[in-house]
Amino acid sequence: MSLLFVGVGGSIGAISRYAISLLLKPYSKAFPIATFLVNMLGSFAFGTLLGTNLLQDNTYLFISGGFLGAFTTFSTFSFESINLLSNKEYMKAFIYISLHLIVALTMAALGFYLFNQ
Amino acid sequence: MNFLYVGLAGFAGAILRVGIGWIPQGIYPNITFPYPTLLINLLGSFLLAYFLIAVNNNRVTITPEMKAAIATGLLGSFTTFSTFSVEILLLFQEKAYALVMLYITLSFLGGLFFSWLGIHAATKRWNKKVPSIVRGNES
Repeated sequence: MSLLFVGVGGSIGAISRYAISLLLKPYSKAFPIATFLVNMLGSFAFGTLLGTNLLQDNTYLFISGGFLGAFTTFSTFSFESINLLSNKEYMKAFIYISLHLIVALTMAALGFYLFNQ
Repeated sequence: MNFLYVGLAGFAGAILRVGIGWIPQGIYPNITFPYPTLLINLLGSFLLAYFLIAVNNNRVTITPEMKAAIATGLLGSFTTFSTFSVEILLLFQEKAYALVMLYITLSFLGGLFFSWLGIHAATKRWNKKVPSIVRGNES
């Protein structure tokens, strides 16, 4: 039953990510900005969710494992990084990968400590 | 119409991810290292790369709706970045710095490696040179 909440949250998360990727497609040619954006937003929101500690059980699952889990993605990030490396765009790849790590962790911590009661 | 397929596939991807994550918690409840997310992200990186190369090689014909559903919906939702971020945060709070380093290293190097592996496995399987998608003509 809980998995149903995960699934519904996941489909909304996937659709939202898809919509953002379509919206940002014109700007994503030079740099994969759409994946970066969803991963940073999702990390911040998940940190906030953990910090507030307000939601329980199925509502929590719906948002965390469902929506935010599906809204953010790792497989596309890996593929885009390899694309940049294969394309010999080493500087872009380095910036993309290190920014992903540093900003995502900062966003998660920021969300957590800003809203931690 | 694509949105419907992406949503349905996203439903399946999220359930698979959370479901797989729950299995080891029942067997090894005391392990703190978040290896379910790690395994899911590495497996998903391999599968997405393999799928995109197979599809873009023109050997495997597939409708644009199905491509969006599998790549963006299923595999995009199956893997996750937000869970990875908060798991690192939680390990930090437990002062498990060695595990933080291990988790970050395995996720990033592993993700890139498995993506690379997927590209080359698909290229070999479909018997063509590395297609233009890898050289950056499409994302």
